[in-house]
Amino acid sequence: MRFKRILPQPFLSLVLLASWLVINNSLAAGSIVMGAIIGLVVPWITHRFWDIRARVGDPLALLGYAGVVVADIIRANFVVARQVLGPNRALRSQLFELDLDLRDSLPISILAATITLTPGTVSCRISPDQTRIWVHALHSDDIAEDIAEIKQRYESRLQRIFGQTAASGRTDQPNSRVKP
Amino acid sequence: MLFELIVSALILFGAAFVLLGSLGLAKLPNFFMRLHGPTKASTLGVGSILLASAVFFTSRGGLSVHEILILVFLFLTAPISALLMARAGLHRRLSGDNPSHKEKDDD
Repeated sequence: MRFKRILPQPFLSLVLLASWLVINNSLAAGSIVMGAIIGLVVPWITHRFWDIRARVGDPLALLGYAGVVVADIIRANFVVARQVLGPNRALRSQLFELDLDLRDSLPISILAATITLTPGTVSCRISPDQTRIWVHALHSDDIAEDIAEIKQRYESRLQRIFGQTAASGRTDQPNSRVKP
Repeated sequence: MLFELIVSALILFGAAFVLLGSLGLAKLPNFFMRLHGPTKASTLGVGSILLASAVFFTSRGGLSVHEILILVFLFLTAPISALLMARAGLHRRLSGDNPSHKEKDDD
């Protein structure tokens, strides 16, 4: 397909163009042209490195997800601030494993980053077969509850965004490349 | 005047959270718990200082939005450095220096 050869990743191209305009603080014609050139050339150079099987099925849901995450980051800061100011004795830190329903590298990376940025949890390690994430919680009363919250709040949303069900993609090899 | 109030409030708010992040780094009892300070408290802190910068320069004429990009890059990179440090910690089998914080460490 011609369109795919010129724009292998239209979403990435748009993000690059937008970033260029934001860096320059301007909507001048020159900036738009330069941003468009970057948006065309960079994906063309880098598309071989990308694991592009994961596709954004629902860009609007992605925006909604960003909103949820930003709200949770703000909430997380207050929670962690209170925990830091309180006595260390009151904290029960825990390391636990989270079984993943997501299968592709990109959504898993987004989930891991989300876990780190949101209330009281840091993702520590993704198992080599990409089926589990190790999560460290600063304070946890009930591990099962924390796992359920991460799954329900973030993972299920990501599954919807990337349009995959728990079963599909299970047979995919992680990091396998799509031939250009 | 109004802008100055908003900018001052944002800077104070941000500075307080950056301070809390550093405090967490100094005070919490073990490696994994110390990771939580800089990954969270400081993201909101730096975020509101950047927002203050955007408001300040926008109020002096000329839209200033490139601070947003700094924030985006910060949100992209903070989890990655946290993940790398946590992995190094797991690899070295660090647990708490405080015996009351036993960690499951069966890598």
